[in-house]
Amino acid sequence: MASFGKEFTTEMERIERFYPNKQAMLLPALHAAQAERGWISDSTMQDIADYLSIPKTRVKEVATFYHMFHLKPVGKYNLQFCNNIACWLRGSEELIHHAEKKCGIQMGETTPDGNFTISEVECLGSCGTAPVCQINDDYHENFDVQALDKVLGEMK
Amino acid sequence: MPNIVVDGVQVEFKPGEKIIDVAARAKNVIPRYCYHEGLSIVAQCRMCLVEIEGQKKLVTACSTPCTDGMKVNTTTDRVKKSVAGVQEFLLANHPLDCPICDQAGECSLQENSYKHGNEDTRFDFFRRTYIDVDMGPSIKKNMNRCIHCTRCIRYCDEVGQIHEMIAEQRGNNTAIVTIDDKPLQTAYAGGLADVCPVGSLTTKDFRFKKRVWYLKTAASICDGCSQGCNITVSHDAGLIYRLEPRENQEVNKWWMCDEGRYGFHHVHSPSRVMSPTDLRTSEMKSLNWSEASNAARELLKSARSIGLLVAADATLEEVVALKKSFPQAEFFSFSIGVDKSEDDKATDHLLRRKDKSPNLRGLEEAGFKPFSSFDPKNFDLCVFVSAGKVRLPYGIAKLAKKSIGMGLFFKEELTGLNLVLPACSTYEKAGTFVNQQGKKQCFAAAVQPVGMSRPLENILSALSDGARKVG
Ligand code: SF4
Ligand code: SF4
Ligand code: FES
Repeated sequence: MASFGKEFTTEMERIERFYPNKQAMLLPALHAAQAERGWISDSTMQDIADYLSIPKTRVKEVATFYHMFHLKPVGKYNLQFCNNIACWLRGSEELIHHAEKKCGIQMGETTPDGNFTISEVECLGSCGTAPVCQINDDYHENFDVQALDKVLGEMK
Repeated sequence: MPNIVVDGVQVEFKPGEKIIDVAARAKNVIPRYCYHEGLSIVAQCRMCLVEIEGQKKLVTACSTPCTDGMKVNTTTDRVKKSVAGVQEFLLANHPLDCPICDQAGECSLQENSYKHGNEDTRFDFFRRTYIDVDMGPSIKKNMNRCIHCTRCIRYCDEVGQIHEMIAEQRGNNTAIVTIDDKPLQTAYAGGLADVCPVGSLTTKDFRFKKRVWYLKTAASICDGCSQGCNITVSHDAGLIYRLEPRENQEVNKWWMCDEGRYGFHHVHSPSRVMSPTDLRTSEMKSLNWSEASNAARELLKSARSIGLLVAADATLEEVVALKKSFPQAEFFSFSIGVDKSEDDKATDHLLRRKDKSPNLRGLEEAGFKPFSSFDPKNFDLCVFVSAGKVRLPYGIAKLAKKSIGMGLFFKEELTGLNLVLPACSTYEKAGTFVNQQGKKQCFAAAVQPVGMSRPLENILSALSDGARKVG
């Protein structure tokens, strides 16, 4: 078992008093672990289970349920396109194709240099400013091809 | 007592009871998938929706507690439409492979389809498919048939107390699998086939052996250990096909262990001795029953002292018959795991016991002495009674001056015996066992005695004349 770093444990100790039991801390634990390790590997699931004293099944169920937990390593920049109805009507499909062409990869893949990942996510809750792309933790609203080219250029 | 009215029928309830159970008492079986009396309630399948007068929304009967005077309707158009909708939704991705599915005939999905579903499907698209994982020696998984009721996950967590089953992914992609695709590590895996309402989890042992509608059933008791789990024996044309737990809240609730569940194959084993066999000469000779009784009488006549070693799966009725037939003899009991019932204890959190015989307490109450005090050399003749699954110590008959075996013997166990009189195994006879709690439990015979085997009582009454003259 690899142990978590200081940031993870401090965060867990900070929030512990807000939760009725350790199992309830599973979501924040997954977030903190992903922040530390970049993605949720199988052994990370086991580490979280050990840390919270819950069965690994409970961790895996939640980790595979939510798309925001990466079950494979992702690139330095993770382009998460919403493709639900509002974004789709406003041209998300075209944006996705453009990004795929630019990066030379398909949806769900990561560039060989480890810089970019393109993924599709469910509604980001920002339909008023569709189409939306979330790059790592930041929202890019009213997105279009020009804006996409611009950020891709900046991120190299 | 407070009561509710279900479809016009008044039923009493105890506070806390859910509509689904109370309605069942009035013979109104509300359709269900995720609900199982022995598992926690999740109310996720929505099959049990009912209408309560005065409430706007339909409610789940499995999770809604009764309140006094509540009027429940299970047959309104709204309920019918909703239940048919759930049913249609579950069938959207179902392979509909009933002709090759072992659950057919006892499948909730099939039954509810007939009772509550639409005749047709409106689903024209490709159906979702999965690749199956190996779940170990007991259970076969067919994920395509799964309806995601999660009973199996709760069964593992709550009954088996292993956390090995998991709902991976979500929505349309949900897969019910074992964690990391590992085989299940539990002595209770077979129960998954009982709780799974469809053909997604079936036992490898019973798979493709028999269509369930050909099976007849008998109420019996497992003879695998001193717990005495209540079971149902399914059989057809003299063959046993499977054992399943039968609900008894005081003994085994709804469950049984795998050892017990699959512990019937010895009954039809080809190496079982099925006719009376004379072993006094170097040549093994099959006898008819009158020759056999004569041979036994001869052996008994010359014996001044007789000791009986009786495996503790003899029934109380057999014990009485033995005592009557051998009034002067000494009786010893034999069990596996313990010498005396006071050494018996639970070996896991649920059912299994250290004493691997079903009636040691019954034998002790009848005055049988423990095996540790048995010395075959003290007797002119030893009678070894093996009435069920418990195997007597291998080769013990070699230590006896003379010996008769009565009961269930296998060809490889005959060393040292002079005569074998084949009698019934547990599932070929009716009788009574006393379990570890001291509970007397009666059971019925499931199948006819195999081959020339006879009930022990019949064998004994045929020779009792000879035996009475002894001593
Ligand atoms: S395998 Fe059976 S018990 Fe488990 S979720 Fe699927 S249908 Fe329910
Ligand atoms: S616990 Fe004992 S009595 Fe119950 S099924 Fe298992 S072996 Fe049979
Ligand atoms: S049986 Fe009530 S919701 Fe499943």
